[in-house]
Amino acid sequence: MESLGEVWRRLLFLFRRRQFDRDLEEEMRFHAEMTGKAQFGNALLLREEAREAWGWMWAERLAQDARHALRGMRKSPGFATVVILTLALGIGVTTAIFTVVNGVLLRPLPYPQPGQLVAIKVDLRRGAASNVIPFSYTRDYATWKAGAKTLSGIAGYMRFAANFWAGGEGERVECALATESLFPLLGAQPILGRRFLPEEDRPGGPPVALLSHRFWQTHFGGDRAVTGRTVTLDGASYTVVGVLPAGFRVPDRYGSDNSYDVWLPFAIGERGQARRGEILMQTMGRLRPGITIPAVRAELQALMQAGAPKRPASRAVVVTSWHEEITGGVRRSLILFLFAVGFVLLIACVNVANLLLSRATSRGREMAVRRALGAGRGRVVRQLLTESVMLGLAGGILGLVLAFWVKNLLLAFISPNLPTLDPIGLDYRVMAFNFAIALLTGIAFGLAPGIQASQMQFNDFLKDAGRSLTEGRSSSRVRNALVIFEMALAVVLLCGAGLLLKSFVRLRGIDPGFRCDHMLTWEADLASSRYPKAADQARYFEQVLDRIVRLPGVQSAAGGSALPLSGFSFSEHGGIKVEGQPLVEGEISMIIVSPDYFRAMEIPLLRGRSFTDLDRQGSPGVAMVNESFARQFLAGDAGVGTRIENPERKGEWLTIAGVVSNTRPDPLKEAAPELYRPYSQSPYSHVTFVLRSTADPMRLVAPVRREMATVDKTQPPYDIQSLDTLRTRMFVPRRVNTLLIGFFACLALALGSIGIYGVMAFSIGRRTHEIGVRMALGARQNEILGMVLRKGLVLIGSGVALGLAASAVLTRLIANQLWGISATDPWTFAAVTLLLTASGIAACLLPARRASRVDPMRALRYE
Amino acid sequence: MLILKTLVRLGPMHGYGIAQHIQQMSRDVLQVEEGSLYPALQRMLIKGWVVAEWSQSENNRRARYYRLTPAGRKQLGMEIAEFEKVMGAIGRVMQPA
Repeated sequence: MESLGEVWRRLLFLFRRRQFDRDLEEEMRFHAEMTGKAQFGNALLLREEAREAWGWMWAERLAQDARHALRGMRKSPGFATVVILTLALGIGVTTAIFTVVNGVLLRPLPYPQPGQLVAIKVDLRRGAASNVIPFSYTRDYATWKAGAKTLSGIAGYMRFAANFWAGGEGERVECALATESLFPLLGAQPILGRRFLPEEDRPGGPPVALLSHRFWQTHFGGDRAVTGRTVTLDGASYTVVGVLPAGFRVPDRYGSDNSYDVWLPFAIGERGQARRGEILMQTMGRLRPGITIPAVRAELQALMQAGAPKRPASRAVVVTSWHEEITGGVRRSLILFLFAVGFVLLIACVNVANLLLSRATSRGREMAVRRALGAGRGRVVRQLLTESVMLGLAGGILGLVLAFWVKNLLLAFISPNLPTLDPIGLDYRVMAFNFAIALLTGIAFGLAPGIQASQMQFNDFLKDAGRSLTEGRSSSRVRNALVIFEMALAVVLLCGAGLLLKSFVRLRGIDPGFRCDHMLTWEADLASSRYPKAADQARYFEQVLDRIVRLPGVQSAAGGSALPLSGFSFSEHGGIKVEGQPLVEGEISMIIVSPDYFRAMEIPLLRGRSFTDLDRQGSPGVAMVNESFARQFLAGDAGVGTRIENPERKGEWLTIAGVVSNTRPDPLKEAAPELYRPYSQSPYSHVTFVLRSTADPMRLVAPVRREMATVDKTQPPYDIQSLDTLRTRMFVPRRVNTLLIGFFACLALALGSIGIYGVMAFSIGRRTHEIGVRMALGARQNEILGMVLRKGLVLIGSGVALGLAASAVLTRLIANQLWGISATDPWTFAAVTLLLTASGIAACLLPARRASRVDPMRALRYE
Repeated sequence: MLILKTLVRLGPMHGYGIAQHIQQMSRDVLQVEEGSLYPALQRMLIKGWVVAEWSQSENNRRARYYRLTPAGRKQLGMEIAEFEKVMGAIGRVMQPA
């Protein structure tokens, strides 16, 4: 036990050590004089031993080693720069990825007791295939809310967008419907006003709204007296009852920016959609303490079946932790990235270890002298470790700077897919991580040279000092092994990147069934207050199309309820009844289109005819179907002319006018059966427009906005973009994965090549004498070149072989991200082999040429 | 223990004096090496058993005198007790049967 006084005295010794040291020296001199001995043994050693009692020796040695290391770095700045930069690169990208992982996966959600929050979803199982949708139904929600005992709270919300109009041009705003229970469940306290009241979330409740902090600032100028004012959405007015705090977000796994500007009570939304019967809602609950997820699932399942006995029995409740639900979409990718950067970091470490090993060999003499002068083996290892840890820390600091920069780049690149709640930043956890890996890498790459140096037979070294023989076997063996390892890591990364790239290219290459180029698309959502009747909606639609088609540069224009790429469609689950035949079970997408739709999209008509202007309200009901539909429901029949019952309105019969080929916007999915209806016979308030242009479609954005405003300025167009952009966006997550892994693989390749260059250059340098002798004895340049290249090839070959073997095992882990190729695609592996061998040889070539140009006379005389 | 005992007996004393005294008292059986004397003294300084100050030696040289502190005295008592316990035990074991 050290008493306080003792600690104090120790500190005193530390801070006044010069004086104490002088005291000690003088005292010992006095002692020596008194004994009459001229020498006091090894006075310095004695003094050091006495000083050790102060307990600061370790610190002094550390400072001494650090000073020494700094001096060493200053003396060979090139070496230090290369080492620190290599490490900074490895540590920097690793820290950057970790920052994102930390921000998305590790940080708890910013709500009270976030661990209790669960997402409640439904599995619309069809046969054996599970089909989990990220929603549940309002009817079940009501049952659960009334009956669930395992949950302390349950809430639901649903996003929608509305046209906000406050005079001037209308604006599209992101809104959400929320059950009154959502805000208490998430612990959100409005900064102004109050939350929704239970009676406001009932059918016929008053029209009230909560505003986001941002919307309050931008549209109400931060007015403290905003409660009681109204906001007008889709022509209806809502009284503001409160403003939510600035940081309030409700994230979902689709990683939009999750900020909804206006919140309305859920019951208000139900009113508008009542005719659709069951409404979907994103549902979440809060577990009671001590309750497990399976228990909740079991209870909710039982309640659902009891509450709605007519449901298909296969329908199942799915309960997951909310955190998992939100991050589920990116977890796998992020972990993959972490692995990839881990490999890059490992390669950087190996590179640095190799550099240090080479240097340790040339510093052999220094070490030998140290040992001869009495430095213990541990002392030498400690000095080398201090040096490498200092390099590691320097790399870590620089890496942190780099990470900050890379992180921003990374976020700009992948954030469309990230469910972020708070800005992702460098917090204490990232700092700790950075420091830990800097320290670890410092130790990792410093240990090998340290041990090697300490095992050195220093007698031999002193004996051959100055005379370089062929290099020592054991040290070159370690270095070679490291290079092989490094090569193997690069191969694994390249194989992974190659596989991802190949499946990406394949996916992109799949014909979607329509043409994406020169297409502009936008959406409009007609407020039911302004366009209450189907006929009004149809008239608006026709007016817009009529004007758009006449714009210069527009080849054709069309509209519909849902584009193949818009990602949403209306499905009917009721099956199809062909006239005179029994009902066939199945799910169909219902799509409403204008007559020119197929022509504008260039979807080929296979049989029959397309819709025309003659298919109007009042004329016989017609439909078109795709191939998939024809195969599933009109088996054997050509299809055209067959009559089917309208799945949306029983008792109405539709004649199939034509069959079009399948579209396949998402290459991962098989084309679903689709039933097309003419817009004029089945108008709908939400429309997507497309136009085919003769030139760059984005040039038409302004004219389109103008025409839309001419028809009705309160109904603004939104999501204006080219179809190419839309299609590209669908591939974004995959593209991000591919590009990032590819980037890491390139880093790995570069580092690996530098590594092999370093080893070869070093070994040539050491063998100058030997090569000189060989040349003096008649070896020709080509032979020397061949000798060096052979050695390099052996290294490369072993590395590639090891790497391919490892890849064969490891790429299986990304098999689920691949498409259309096996995880051990031989062509990819072959390409990687070729690439790595080529760059490896290129890296060897420089030292090899230098070797072949050795002037034998100079090499010999140099000795 | 020996150093502390010496300081009790002689009062403040310098390192050389301590070594001399122990050597004399033990009739040259115990030779105190500088290599162990000074580290030991430094340790005691840290522990707070002794304090050191510079003053004039008998032959008018500056010497560093070590003086026992109350803590050092207590420590000596404890060490003597421990020592006697061990000596007694050894004595009993070594008794002719």
